[in-house]
Amino acid sequence: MPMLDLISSTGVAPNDVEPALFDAAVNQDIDALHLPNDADLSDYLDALPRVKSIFVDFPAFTDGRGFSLARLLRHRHGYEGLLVADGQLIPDQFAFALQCGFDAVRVKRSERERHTAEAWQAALDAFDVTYQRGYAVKAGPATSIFDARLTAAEANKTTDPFSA
Amino acid sequence: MSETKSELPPTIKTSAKHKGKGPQAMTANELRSGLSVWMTQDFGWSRDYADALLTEDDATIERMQDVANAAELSNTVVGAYFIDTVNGAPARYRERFRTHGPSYDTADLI
Amino acid sequence: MYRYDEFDAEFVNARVAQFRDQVERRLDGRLSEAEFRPLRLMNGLYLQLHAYMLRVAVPYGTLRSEQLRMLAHLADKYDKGYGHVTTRQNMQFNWPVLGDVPDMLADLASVEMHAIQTSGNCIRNVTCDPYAGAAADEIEDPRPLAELLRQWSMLHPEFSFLPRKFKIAVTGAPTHDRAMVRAHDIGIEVVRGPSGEVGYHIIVGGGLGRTPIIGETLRAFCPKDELLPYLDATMRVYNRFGRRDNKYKARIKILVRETGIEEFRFLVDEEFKALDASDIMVSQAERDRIAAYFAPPEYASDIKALDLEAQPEAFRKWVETNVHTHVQPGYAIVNISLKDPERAPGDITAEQMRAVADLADKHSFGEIRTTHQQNMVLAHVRQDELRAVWDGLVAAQLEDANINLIGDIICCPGMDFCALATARSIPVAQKIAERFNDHARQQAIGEMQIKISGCINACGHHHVGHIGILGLEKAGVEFYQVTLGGDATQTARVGDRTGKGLSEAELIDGIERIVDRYMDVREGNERFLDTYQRLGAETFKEALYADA
Repeated sequence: MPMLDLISSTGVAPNDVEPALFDAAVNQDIDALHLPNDADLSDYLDALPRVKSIFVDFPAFTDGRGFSLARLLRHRHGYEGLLVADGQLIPDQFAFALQCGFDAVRVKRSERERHTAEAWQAALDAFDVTYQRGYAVKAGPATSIFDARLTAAEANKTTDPFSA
Repeated sequence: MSETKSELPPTIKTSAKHKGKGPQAMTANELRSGLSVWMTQDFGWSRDYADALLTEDDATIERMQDVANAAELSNTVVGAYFIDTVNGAPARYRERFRTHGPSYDTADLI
Repeated sequence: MYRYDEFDAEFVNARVAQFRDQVERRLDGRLSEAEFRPLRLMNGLYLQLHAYMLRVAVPYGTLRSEQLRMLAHLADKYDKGYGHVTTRQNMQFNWPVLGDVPDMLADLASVEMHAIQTSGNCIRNVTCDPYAGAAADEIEDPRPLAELLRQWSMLHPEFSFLPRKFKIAVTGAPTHDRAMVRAHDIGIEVVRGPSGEVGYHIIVGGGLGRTPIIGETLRAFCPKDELLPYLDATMRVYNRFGRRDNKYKARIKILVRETGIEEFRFLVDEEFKALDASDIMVSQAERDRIAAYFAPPEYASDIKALDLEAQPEAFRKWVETNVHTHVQPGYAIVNISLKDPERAPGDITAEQMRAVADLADKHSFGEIRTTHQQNMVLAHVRQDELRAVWDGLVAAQLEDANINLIGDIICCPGMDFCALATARSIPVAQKIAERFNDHARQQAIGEMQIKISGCINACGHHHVGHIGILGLEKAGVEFYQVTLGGDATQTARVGDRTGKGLSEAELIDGIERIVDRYMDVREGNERFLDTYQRLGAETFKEALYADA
């Protein structure tokens, strides 16, 4: 088992949790669930309230299925526990992961020689804005451009009573 | 923790081992310019195929492999691979084409 | 035309800075090539057969004159003095070096341009009817829609690592499709709904490549405000269920085919019902804001009628072939052919770009279009200024009068530049153009679309050419397969394979025999495509192989 690090917007911490495969027969709390990225979420819904953390598998950083799973877990199924993108992500995807609903990514510690903690944090600072509505996050692109325009238009309307 | 070659993450790939026929040449593209290069007699790289090292010697081929891997890991070339040659020229049409550049380029009219 | 606001500018500048950092990390090894490759592709940077290639986005094929001048500047400063208009309306440069690309992107950003998502497994640059806003046959200008889609798709957090690339095309003229909406992953037609309101007909699963498929209706009428949530639902179904085990089966067309359109529609509808549309849709105010940029220009009303009789014959011929009806009385749409028989189809020099930009400033409200047929368009030209435009084009050697004729060949870069190609395509286009160089003969033949691809990926759209040519290679020799009867319009159809491949010389002669046969058997003003549909393939196959 390689040494792993959990990287979130607040920093880096070791994390060697071994998430468990789902077993529908076990009716107790699940501390860490391993979720394959082709999972049919309907199999998991009954158990979801008992799950404390979910590790979504990213078998390759180019396989974007996990982003949609995160979005569904958060927005459709109301999952509020820890959500981790587990696998091969690179810093340049960090903001995407958070924007889709992940709290953190987990990568091999050995990768950090190239992808330093600073690189991961810098990736979050690359953009303050995102176009899509519903994908803005505090750490990372904090505002949807579509929403920012509305806000700016409203401000223009109200702040200067003398403008034409 | 230092990594041995076998532990290289899948996101760092080096050139595939050759499975070719006949004398082998090693080719790649320069990372910075993108231009095609071929490995030379002294295990450097040349943009001119005429300088290419062609060999059937297993030990030399192994060395070419190692040099290419090292060049990729040191970020000088990308996508290194062996090509088959016949009578001194690349065997595949595409590889022959690659040695001489486009047969037409609007740049030549300017 | 759309102008960036502070947010668009901030976004594109941040993107340039991000890519500059990525290039730096690649050069010092912090990014491996395997990691860098998808990142550079999403900024339009390929490693091609001989060198890097940068594909600059021309969103929905619309350029302002200063943007075209910037492309000329890039061609001169960082490349070899020319650019190439692609079949997806973009412009690509064949010879940049990696270290220059961040500067090229910064230059582009200074004129509100970018190269974002012109490659990679993401939502690509949205393409559009090049006559948008000028065509008499359109229901509504589709460019506000295209601009909305550009913004919505930019660095989409969920849809940037799709199974495969994703191409969207839009048209506002469903009765005269000039954007090939049925040959795209998603095609959108502006249509009128049951009570006359304007909305969108969504077509899914079209595409060319190794498995050519004509798209099918996903949703006959999508109200405007539902479009983005509905596309989100469609993209999510594709992102989750599109095949990732085989890149040749990873496009949405394969998912739609394997799932069946009914079941696919069901999946999208379920997704659409379950998502919070209000979380995704943009406001009417925002759509109105974007649309305002595409308001018609201030047309003049004092335009004198053009006395063609008093004009030179070459000009009259050019007007006949290259000038198209405009929605506004007194105006015309001018097509600028980039099909000089001696050049690569779609290539344009920096000097010519500047000449076109100047003409656009003088005669077309400073606006230029690029077309999927690899030409350019001045969309709003006063008819009494057509002669001045033509004079300018003659001076720039851009006066070829061959739009939609046999010399107006679509052609991918082929083996001369492309890493995927199996055979050359440029020399074939040049030889056909040379064979039919006589203008009177081209004119007599009439509308004829020859489309050439240098490999089965079909960037040259050969499947939908009236005559399609596919370049292949066996044992070191190039050969060419011919398809007949393809159609890229609203009556889209994949052409029929004729039979065994031909050498280049056999091909050129064979095409001439097909054309001669057509001239013999056509009735009245029938186009080649009409004659082909009336008579079927046999007689033309026989002509093609008559000498073989």
